Amino acid sequence: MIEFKNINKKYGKFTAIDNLNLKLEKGTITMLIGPSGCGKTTTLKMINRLIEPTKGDISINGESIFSLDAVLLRRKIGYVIQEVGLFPHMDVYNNIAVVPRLLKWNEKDILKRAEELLELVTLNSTYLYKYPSQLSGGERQRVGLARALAVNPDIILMDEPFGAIDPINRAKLHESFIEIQEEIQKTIAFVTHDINEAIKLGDNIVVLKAGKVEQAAPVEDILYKPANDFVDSLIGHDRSLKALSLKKARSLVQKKGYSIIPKGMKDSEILEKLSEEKTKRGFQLNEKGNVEKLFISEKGKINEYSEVPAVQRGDNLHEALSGMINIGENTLPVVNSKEVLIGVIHLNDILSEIRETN
Amino acid sequence: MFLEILEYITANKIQVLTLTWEHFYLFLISTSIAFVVGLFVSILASQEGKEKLNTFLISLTGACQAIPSIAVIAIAFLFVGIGAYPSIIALIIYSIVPIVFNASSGFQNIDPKIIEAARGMGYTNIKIITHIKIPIAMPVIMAGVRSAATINIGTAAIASIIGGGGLGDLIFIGLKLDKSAILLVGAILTALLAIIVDFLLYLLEQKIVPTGLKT
Repeated sequence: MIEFKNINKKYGKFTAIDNLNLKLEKGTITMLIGPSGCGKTTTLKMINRLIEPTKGDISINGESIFSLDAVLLRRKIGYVIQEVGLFPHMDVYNNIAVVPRLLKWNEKDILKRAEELLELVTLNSTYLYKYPSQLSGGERQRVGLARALAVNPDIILMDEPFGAIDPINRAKLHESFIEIQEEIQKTIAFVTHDINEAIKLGDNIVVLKAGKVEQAAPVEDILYKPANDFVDSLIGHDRSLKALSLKKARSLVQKKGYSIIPKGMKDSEILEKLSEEKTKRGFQLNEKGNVEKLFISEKGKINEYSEVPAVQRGDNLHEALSGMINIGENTLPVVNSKEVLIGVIHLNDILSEIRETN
Repeated sequence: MFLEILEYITANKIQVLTLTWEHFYLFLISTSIAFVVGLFVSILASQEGKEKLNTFLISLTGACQAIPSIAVIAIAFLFVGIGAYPSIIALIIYSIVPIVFNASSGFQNIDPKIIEAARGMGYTNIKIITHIKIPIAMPVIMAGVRSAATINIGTAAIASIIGGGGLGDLIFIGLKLDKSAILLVGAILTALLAIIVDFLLYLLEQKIVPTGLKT
């Protein structure tokens, strides 16, 4: 647990942080958000002492960080910044090896750890000897995360890590980030200026303005019980839509309402099977379980589709809803990370979810 | 003319070799000192909080490159007299300029976020210089060293007028005696020395510039 007690930071007469009291719970993601100049990055950088407060104390698990050597403290805390933070003159392996080498690990262990980490961030060992300039923005960010995890620190600080990534890749990175965190359960402080990102990734959100905390609370509370007008305006008017990103598609997966159609069936046989099973849609799967074709019965006829958009089980309801709106369908197949069909999701279930939470 | 040049070289082998060695010696000593001092100054000026000093240094050394070499030799003569020693001083002053200019520009162009990442990960200040700043600025530093070396060898020829020795002696003898063959021997060997040294530095550059920074 990280605790800020009465922290002040002044630059000359300008007060950057004004009497900050904050707790970051172990194993959770705390999102720091606010307009530029609100002190969110300053707050983050005080945890690894890149910035020293003017007054007050910060402790990690009860121990004041000012009783430790700043350089040694930093080696125990993972640090990720925007993609440019990778060292351009070092390959992926050497970038990951930085902190392990500072802590005098032997090279064999470092190599093993690097391979393990690349798997974790959904890259693989073919990336070990590539240079940052040979990677895409998303890949660089994954390597940045792997580098921060190198010595398995309990705490990770992330300063707008996905800020320079295009929206499509950012969504993918978010998914893997959520999955990785489910696995590693680190205490993470995460600076962002994007409220959607904060809602999607955070367990808790700290809203800052002009060096003061406007509200520090779990994401649901920020959404449904904003402490003041500022927090309210930050969330915007589409609260219900935003709240959808808190829930995963897998929570609404239905195993019924569709049929599995064996290969080689004639249209008439498919019609018969669908009406027997009282469904309107049938999926034809290949041997791996991937959806190959979709059959929909309409007015006694079968329509066949070979391009079937699907929802990932890790996608949130906001994304599932967007998928439905994109193609004008009220039911979409849900697949796991290997694209294997695990069920479907219905528009009606999403709508009742919204009614319940309001 | 070509025959005359060859004749002169074969007839004066020892003299020509001695002067070439002297020339190389002037270059080596002065460039080495200029490199060490120049890099040290650039590193000091590149520390955080000294951005203004660094910018000033880049402007100053940029402007200094416009000073003609003969003027630097003349100034060294005024202050430290004649001989090899004042020549070396003049050469150090003259070749330190491109070294500092390039090294300081190289350090200034490193993205501050990279330095911050390094500090945030627990690199000490010394390690940030040796493991991050110098390797990343290396292509620019080496370009500075190469241009310093070439300028140095050319200027060393002029240092002969204040008694520095080297291949400049042949050039000035040739001028005085109106013997263009002797003049050409000095000039050609000076050029050849510059080309060889530049090529060797190119090989060194290939070896020490980190792979990820090569284009």
